[in-house]
Amino acid sequence: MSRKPIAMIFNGVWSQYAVATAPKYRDLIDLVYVHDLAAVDWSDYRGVIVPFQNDHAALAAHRDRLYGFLAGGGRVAVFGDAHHWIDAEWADRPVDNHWWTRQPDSPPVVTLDFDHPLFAGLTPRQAGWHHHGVYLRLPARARVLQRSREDEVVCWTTTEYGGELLAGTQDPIVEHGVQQIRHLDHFVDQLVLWLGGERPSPARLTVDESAYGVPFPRRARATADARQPNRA
Amino acid sequence: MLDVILIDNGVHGLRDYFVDGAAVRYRPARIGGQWPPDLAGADLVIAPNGTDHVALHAAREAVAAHLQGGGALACFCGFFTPWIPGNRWVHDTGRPLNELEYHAVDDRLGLLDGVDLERFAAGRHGIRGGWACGRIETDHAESVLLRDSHHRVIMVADTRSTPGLIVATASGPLGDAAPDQPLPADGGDLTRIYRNLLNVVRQRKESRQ
Repeated sequence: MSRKPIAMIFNGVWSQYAVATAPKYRDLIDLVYVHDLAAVDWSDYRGVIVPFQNDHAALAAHRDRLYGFLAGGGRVAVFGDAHHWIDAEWADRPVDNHWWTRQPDSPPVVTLDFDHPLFAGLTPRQAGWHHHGVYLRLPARARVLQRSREDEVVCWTTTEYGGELLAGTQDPIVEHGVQQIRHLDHFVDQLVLWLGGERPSPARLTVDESAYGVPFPRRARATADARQPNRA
Repeated sequence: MLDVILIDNGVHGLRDYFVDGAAVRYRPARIGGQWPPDLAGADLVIAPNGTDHVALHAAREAVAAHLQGGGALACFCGFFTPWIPGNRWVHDTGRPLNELEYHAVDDRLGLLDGVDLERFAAGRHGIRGGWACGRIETDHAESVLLRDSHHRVIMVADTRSTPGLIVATASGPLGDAAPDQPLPADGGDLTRIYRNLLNVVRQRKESRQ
């Protein structure tokens, strides 16, 4: 049993690593390498984050186990084009990366439902920044939580699989790691609370430099997928 | 024709920025397929922005052999695992970026030819710091190509650590979506740096033949 309540599906990307190893999150988020998924005991976790910049084709091979996690009441938040394994259709849209130089109080994403626990207590600016796409088709009983300025779907949620599956086209983990947008502690802290049941320290994200320049520990039982990379 | 291996971790849209052209062909090395990849014959290996540094650490011996044979490596991403010989990257969020400037240190290879560093620092929308998500710690001070106004190493061009060429940014992305199209005289600096890099690799290839 992991002592950390949240599994973050990790595609070896530095910004994902930066968030999960940051002192304020490292006791709450377990990095699960996407090519080690065969070794994961999902019952260890309360929630799963699938951050942007993931390998959804690799994830799709484990679709049944993820849906099994949902069926058991788990919460999954996915950010990015996950058409490989969720019943929804993504379409790319141009990324507006300079809205805060033009209209800093008017983000290009409109949050419709601040009653959802993910957005509780957030301001519109904390809840919305750029988005990378929209959803053209959603699961049958999905509820839309955020839309673009053009009124297309940016974030939705559904409980039709047992637990709760939330999907969005923003990139909170990657951008929080990159730290170009400096106010994402609010959103990510709320995401961690919603998925894991524990609120992180309210302090800003910081870096533990000792986590850098060292190998990433692979999972001991990661042998089921013969095509996965060699062990480090 | 340059033979370039592009490390591909399945990130959406990756290949849009590495498009075949008249003088360059990309061979994607898909993580999850044969791994470590066969780098034989490649002129250049590219680890693009958003790549997988767990898999690259697992492939570090293949990368080292490629460099020992005189090949080139370009990493445009924060290499948080130790897989690039002679260099280390550390995430660094503690510095204000809104007045950031970049300064060329030693550009003996000409990677910054035609690049306006002030225009480059400000970016297309006047948003600074896009290349300053961390810093590189290099074993060879002579390799430092670019520093920022906090004296952090932002880019290296390293021919000292191995017989090959290592070009690394402190996570700054580079690529070329339209390799056969001319660049505008008043912009396109990221693509210009990338094309300069391909020219350097081409010159090295020709000098070895």
